[in-house]
Parts: sequence; C-alpha cells; structure tokens
Amino acid sequence: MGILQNVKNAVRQRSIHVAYVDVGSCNGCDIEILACLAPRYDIEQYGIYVHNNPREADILLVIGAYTPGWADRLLPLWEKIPDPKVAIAIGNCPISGCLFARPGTLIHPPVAAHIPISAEVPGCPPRPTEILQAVLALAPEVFRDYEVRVL
Amino acid sequence: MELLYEKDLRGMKYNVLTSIRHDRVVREIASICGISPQVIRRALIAKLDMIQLENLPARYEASRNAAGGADPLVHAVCGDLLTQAVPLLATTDIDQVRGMVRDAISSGTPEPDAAIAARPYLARLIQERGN
Amino acid sequence: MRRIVDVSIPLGPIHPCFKEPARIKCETSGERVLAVEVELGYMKKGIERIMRGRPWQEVMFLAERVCGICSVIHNMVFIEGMEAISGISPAPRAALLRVVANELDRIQSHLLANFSYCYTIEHETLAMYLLDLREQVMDLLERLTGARVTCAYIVPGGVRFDLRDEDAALIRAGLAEVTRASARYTRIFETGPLIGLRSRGVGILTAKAARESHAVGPTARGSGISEDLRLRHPTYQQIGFSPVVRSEGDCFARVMVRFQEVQESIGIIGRCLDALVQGPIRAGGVCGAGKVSYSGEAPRGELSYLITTDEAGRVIDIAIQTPSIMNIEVCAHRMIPGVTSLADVTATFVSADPCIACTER
Repeated sequence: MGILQNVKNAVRQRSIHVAYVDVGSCNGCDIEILACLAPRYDIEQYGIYVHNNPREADILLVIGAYTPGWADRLLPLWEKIPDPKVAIAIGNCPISGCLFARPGTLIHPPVAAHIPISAEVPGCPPRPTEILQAVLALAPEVFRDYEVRVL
Repeated sequence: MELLYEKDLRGMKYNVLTSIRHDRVVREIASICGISPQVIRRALIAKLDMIQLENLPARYEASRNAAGGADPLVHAVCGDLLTQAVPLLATTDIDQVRGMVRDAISSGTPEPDAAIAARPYLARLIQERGN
Repeated sequence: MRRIVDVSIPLGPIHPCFKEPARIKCETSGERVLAVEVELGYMKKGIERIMRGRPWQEVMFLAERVCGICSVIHNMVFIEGMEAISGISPAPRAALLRVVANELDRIQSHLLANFSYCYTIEHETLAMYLLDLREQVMDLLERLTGARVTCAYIVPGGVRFDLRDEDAALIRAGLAEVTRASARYTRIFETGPLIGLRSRGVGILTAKAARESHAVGPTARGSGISEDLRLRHPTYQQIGFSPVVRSEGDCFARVMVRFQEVQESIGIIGRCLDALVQGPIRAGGVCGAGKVSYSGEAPRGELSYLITTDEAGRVIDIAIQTPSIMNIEVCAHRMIPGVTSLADVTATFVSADPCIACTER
C-alpha cells in the first residue's frame, strides 16, 4: 500500500459523480433526490455531483419498481458506467415494489434481480438526508484500494 | 432489419388503449364510423404515438364540446373527428370521401343515405392506414 | 407510427434535463424541429389495474402514489369523489384545512417546475434560489400534514390531524418569508435579459391549438384560456380568488403564470387561516355504492377521476385522467415543432411541466 494509493483513496471519496435512473416510480423519490441539490442540504459540499450522465458516473441511484420498458435498457445503462461503480436502491419500490406489487401490476421488482444493488435506502420516500447519508457511507467503501483489489 | 434503438411499442400501446376511458372512446369512434373496434384500435396503434393515445379521451371530448363550424358534409362522414380529434386520416382522404358523398347527393340520393353509403369506403381507408 | 425520416434526433430516456424517463424523437431539418414523436412506457405501472376490486382504504394510498409531486390533490380528488358517492360532507374546519394543504402543495410544485425550467436554461443561481425556497414550503407542509411527500392527510369526512394555533402562526410567518422571496425571484425572472432571450417567443402555443388538444392548467392559462376548476369548488368559492391568465403563450408566460399563482396561493392560505372556525376535524359517514366523475384543479391542471364503487366501499372500476397527459401532448405536437434550435426543445418541454409518472400511471 503506497502513499499514492492513500492519496487516491482520500481524493476519490470526496469526488463522487452520481447519476440517477427512474425505472418506474411515483416521482416522489426523484424529487427527494433533486431536493438534495438544494442549498439546504448542499450535496456539493461533500464533493457529490449529480449530472445524470451514466458514462461519467460512479454511483447509480435506482428509483422505481422496474417497468417492462426498462427490460432491455437498464442493463446496458449499467454496463456503460465505468468501474469502480455501485448502485443504490432508493425507496421501497426497487426493494419490494412497495404498494405497486399487487396482482395485475406491470412491474417486476426487485431491481436487484436485474442489476447488482449494493445498498438500499427504504422509505416511501426516504428523506433527502437519508439518501445523502447512504451515498456518503458507501462512497469510501467503493473506492478504497480499488487498484489493489482488482488489478 | 435489426434496429438498435427502436423497439416494438405495440404491446405497450395496447396497454394504454385497454384503460376504461380509452376503451369507451375507441368503441364510440368505432360505432360512429361503423367499423369494428379492433380495426380502429389497430389503426390507432399504427398511426399515433403514445402520448396521442393517452390523450385520446380528452381530445375526443374537446371535439365533442367544440361548436360545430365544420362543413356539414365533412361532419356527416366524421371528417372532423377522424382528422382533427383523432388524426387517423389526412384531410385529402376526407376530401375524397366528401367528393363521393357530394356526387351521390347530386345524383339524387338523400344526404343521410349518401353518408352511410360512404362508410365502407371510409372503413377501408382506415384499415389501409392501419397496415 | 413507423416513418422513414431524414434526421431523427432522440432525446432521452436518460437525459440531464429530464427528471423522469421519456423519449422524444425530433425530426429535424438543420436545427429546426419539424415533428416530434413521444415514446413512453418507461413508467407504466398499471395503477388503475391494481386499484380495481380493492377497498377505498387501500385505493386512497395508491391514488396518492399516482404522482409524488402533487400527491395532495390526488388524495383530495379521490376522497372528495368518494364523499360525493356516499353523500358525506366534510367538517367545516377540515374543508378549510384541506385547501391549506392543497395550496401548500401547489406552491411547492410550482416552485419545483420553475426550478426545472431555470435549471434547463442554465440559470443555475435562480434555480437554486427557487429550490431553497421550496424546502421552506416543504417544512410548512410537513408541519401541517406530518410528511413531506405522501401525506395521506385527507380522509372521507375530514382530515387526519388538526392544526394547532402555534403551527398556524408558524405557517403565516413562513409564508410571509416566501412572499418576499418569491416576489424577488419573480422580478429576477421577469427582468433578466438572458432569461428573456431564452424564453420570450419560444415554444408558442396558440389558444386555438390549446383548445383542440384540451390543454389545461398553467399551460392553457399561459395561452389566454381562463379556466380553473378551483372556481367550481365550494370551499374555494367561499374563500374567493381570481385565476391568473396571461396571453403570450410562450415559455415565459407559462413560467410567469406559475410565479403569479404562487402569490395567489399564499393569499388563499392566508384567507383560509383567517376563516378557520373551531370545531371537529372529522364528520361521520360510511362510504357506499355509486358512480361519479369528479374533477379538481391539480398544480398542472384538470385532474379527473371516474370512480365506481360497491356497497362495501370497494372500487370496482376507476379511470384517472391526469393533466400532464394533455399538456405533454400539446407540448410535443404543437409547441415543439417550429422551435429553431435543439436547446429550445428541452426548455419548451420542461416549461409545460411534464410529469411522466402521472401520464403513464
């Protein structure tokens, strides 16, 4: 473990790029993620940037209960994100389908059956602070010693 | 042809049309034009995009509530309905049908009968557009 | 619709400007957009199918989750529809509290819509101001209903919680702050030269086109159509207000209508709190069988529910028509064709305040 790796670890956990994808929610969780951008929570003070571009993202926030329209779109999207990467399920929908998982529904939860999910933030919807906490708790774990672990 | 970014939307469009409100409007349009609902549904799926399908009931009601200012002959062959409220046919198609009805009237057929006689032709036009 | 076009530029489903997934395919000639096709199906959960055969106690929560931005009005329209079926009338104090909750929800929804617009035209300063202001309104909504987003505040015959006098005072004080701030931001938006260049005369919707496609809400009111279903609601008639109408029909007008409606809503809440009578917050009643078509004014426009129930209060059949359906249609097929640059496509789309979750249900 060299000094270089330590510097990388320190820097990387303060520069996290986030993309979010809505795979069929009610919009409530989207808006709570958007609220994280507000000056009150000020997500950028932790070095988290939300710009919704999978190709430069580190963390993918997945919202919603997986509708049929995403059947051939979500996995390619996940594959476009460069390593190291991680997906967080926000809200009850990606975990269980929440109250949309009833007979006659069109959704196919959980999202974890389609792409690997590393953390889950339950709630309908979770508060912005909870979302922020999840991202901040996961970020150091994802990036720590990435080269040592993988290469 | 294998398409990279386009996919078959017919299933999802059918899902839209099976909601109660949409189903009722499709059946009403079908009975007005004297065509089976299946044919109308097929034409709608082929011709309109998804947001127009979702908006079908609102557009239909808006055209019902609008004061008629249209040509009575066009109205008799549901021209205003089929070109504006539910854009299934082009105005040139409707002009053609109107011409047929006008010819029939000038050759002595009473107007309601002439409009009804044009129905099979209208149905064929819609069916063609659905393919 | 399978057509061969010369150049078709798809935007979405994942796009930095869109909060939700939708795909709009623009047929262009140079940068001028000729026609637009909207592809949905990324959010279709089939809520109406799930609702069928379930008791109203469950459907009420499902109705709220049709749209997470304007959940209060979905709750209100469904419950008032059930009340109309069963002949229940709400307690007078509760009727006023409903309006307070609904107007707070409208304010936060409008602020969010204007935030999205400013963010899309890259005026990030004003966007962040508005998002911060929205958080203050969310605090007031949380103080009244106990939750930020899905509150389930309105129940048949009344509301779930009473408003304490000290909370009413807090809401008044909070709204005074919001009035001052939103007046300032309205002035910034109105006079900003770059905002004017991006918004004035872009995405024009004529009143005729709006009527034909049945546009509703701020989108229609920005085009000179003075329609507001709140005028037909008994509590709003008692409180009194006048709808905001502008005649320009461009993106600027739609955003300004929302800014002015925020001020109007603050006035309504103030008058409601003044008129608040002491008394119970729930009236008795049992939900029964019947059929009703009930409409209300959501932040985005006319929202209507078609409900059929049986004797036990179970929902047999339900159809929901949300305002975004009409507004996205009119936006895609009337406003966007003719815009002169692709940058204006996203701005115009966002100016109609599209909510895909509502549209697809």
